[in-house]
Formats: sequence, structure tokens, C-alpha cells
Amino acid sequence: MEDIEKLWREINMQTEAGEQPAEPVFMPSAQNMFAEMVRKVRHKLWFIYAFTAAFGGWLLWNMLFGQSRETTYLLLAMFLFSLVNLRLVLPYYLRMKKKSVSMSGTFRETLQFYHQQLTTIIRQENRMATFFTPFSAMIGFAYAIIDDKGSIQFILDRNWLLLTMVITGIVVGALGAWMAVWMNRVAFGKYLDYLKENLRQME
Amino acid sequence: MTNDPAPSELLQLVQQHAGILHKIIRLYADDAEDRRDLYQEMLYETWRAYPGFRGASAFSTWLYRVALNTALTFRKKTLRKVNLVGLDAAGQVPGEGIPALSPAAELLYRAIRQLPETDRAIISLHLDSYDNEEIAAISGMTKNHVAVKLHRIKTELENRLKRG
Repeated sequence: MEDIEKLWREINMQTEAGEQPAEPVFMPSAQNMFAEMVRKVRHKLWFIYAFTAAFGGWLLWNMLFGQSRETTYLLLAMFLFSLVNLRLVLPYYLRMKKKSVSMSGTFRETLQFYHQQLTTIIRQENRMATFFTPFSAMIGFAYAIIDDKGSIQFILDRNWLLLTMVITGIVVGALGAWMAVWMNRVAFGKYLDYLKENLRQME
Repeated sequence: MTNDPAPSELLQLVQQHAGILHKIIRLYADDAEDRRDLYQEMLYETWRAYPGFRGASAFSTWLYRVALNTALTFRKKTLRKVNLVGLDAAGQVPGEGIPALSPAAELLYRAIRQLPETDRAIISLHLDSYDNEEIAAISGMTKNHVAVKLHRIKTELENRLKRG
């Protein structure tokens, strides 16, 4: 062990000797995986803000000037979905943005923080895709029928149309859920495995 | 991103202790491009975390902690190699100017780099004279766990060095 310590001292001396004074630049590198995740969530938030505003505005317009109460209910459902989406994503995004707090913590805290944040946000995305995509698809389907035929009763009176609406929801939902899981796995799977492995090494 | 300029005392402190960063970078980054990115991330995280530095420990200990946490969590978003041509023009690559090590020291460095990432952090802290209690406080492990880990790491390193 004494040999190792002697060699390490040599490494320290060589490192110090080789340093060339350079002005430090305090900017993030463009390649950070976690920063990429935060960026991705921020973009998603913009979309949700835009959808919430659009559905909110449309709902308001429909309440004031629209003829169909059923359309108003559908728009209200979409508006509420947007708000729930926002509620699911926003707190995690805000926590992810504060990551420097944990950078001066222990290794375990930092690794757990990163792992937990990424796992949670991915889980929420998958959940959104699984639960909200089929409902959105069915609401869209119903909206189109109401727009064309005047009432949702047109669907309720025809079992085949009701079945088509449900199948559309299931297919779109399954596809949405599969896409979300697959895309997150491709984008962040390796990074999550890496964090998990580092945490495992500390056990 | 850098709306607030780095305080001048931080600039000075980082320059004084840049050896810590270079040493860790060489333990964790594989090539010049990775070293440059990791160095930049370390500086950025140091700047972000600095307002929370209360002086409870020495600056070098705090910097060591931030740098190791950055190294342990930093992964590049793509494996793409881009624009290697302009690297020299962009400035010094961290760790590039360090004189060549003796073959034995080089062997030690290689042996440490082959360890799992958290073990690299623990052994480098130990070799830089941090005691088990300090390493436990930095890593979040118990003191006993650190002692057991260090024993295993040292045995592993000695075996690797013997094998050459």
C-alpha cells in the first residue's frame, strides 16, 4: 500500500506541474444527458401550456357563443386533462431545475436524486400516454361526430359506432403507451442503468 | 445560463485547486473531448453550487465533492463525435499538459480507472488523505462500509499492480 501512496503522490505532483493557468468558463457543456432531460421536459411543458390555453380559450368561446352543450362538456374534459397533465409534470420539472442543491450533497444523495427524478418523470410520461391518449382519442372521435351529426346520441344509438370509438381509444392508447416507453428507453435507458449500477455499487 | 458572473474569489479558488479537477477528470474521462466536457460541467456545477458553500469544510473538500458528484452523474447525451478538427484551436484540453507519468504511476492510474466508478471516487479520496469518517460523510456510506470497501479496493489494486 505504501507503494500505491508513493505513486499517487507522484501523480499529484505531475498533475500540479502540468496545470496551465486558464481562465475558467462557468458554462454547462452542450452534451449533458441530465440537462437534455430537463430541456425535453421544458419543451413538453410549453406544449401543455399551449394546449391548456387553447382548450381554455376554445371552451370559453364555446360557453359564450357555442350552440352545443355536449361540445362544451367535451372541451371541458380536454381542458381538465391538460390541467392534470400540467399538475403531473410541473412539480418534477421544478425539482429537476434545482439540481445544483444536491451536487454538493453526498454521492448517494446525488445519485439517488438523479435516478429518482428521471424515473419519476419517465413514469409520469408513460402514465400520461397510457391513460390520457385513449381518452383524448375518444373525445376527439366524439367531437367529430357531434360536429357532423349534432349530438353524441348518434354514437350512443349505434353500438358499432360506440365499439369503433372504444377500439380507437384502445389502439391509440396502446400505441401511445408503447411509443412513450420505447422512446424513453432509447433516450434515457442507458443513463438510468448507469445510475442504478453506481447506486448498486454503494450497497 | 451564466447571468450572474462568477465571483472573483471563486475564480481564484478554482484556479488554486484546479489540480483536483484535473486529477478527477483523468480518472473518469476517456478522451480529449470527454475531458473538455467534463471539465466544463465541473466548473458549471461549482459555480451553481457555490452560493450554498458555507465554509463548513475546506474549499478543497467541497470542490472534491462537487467534482466527484459531477463525474459520477455526467453522461453525454450522444456518443456522436463532432467537430474534432477544431479542438486545438478551442483552447487547452484539461489534463493534456500534464507531463508523462512513470510507468509504475501510469499502471496505478490505469488500475484505478478499471475500478467501478464509485470505488474510484473512494480510493482517490483515501489516497488524498481523507480519513474514513470524511469519506463516509462525502459518499453517504457508513464508516464501517467505507473501511470494508477500502480494504477490498486496496487488495484489488495491489493484485492488479502485481499482475502488471
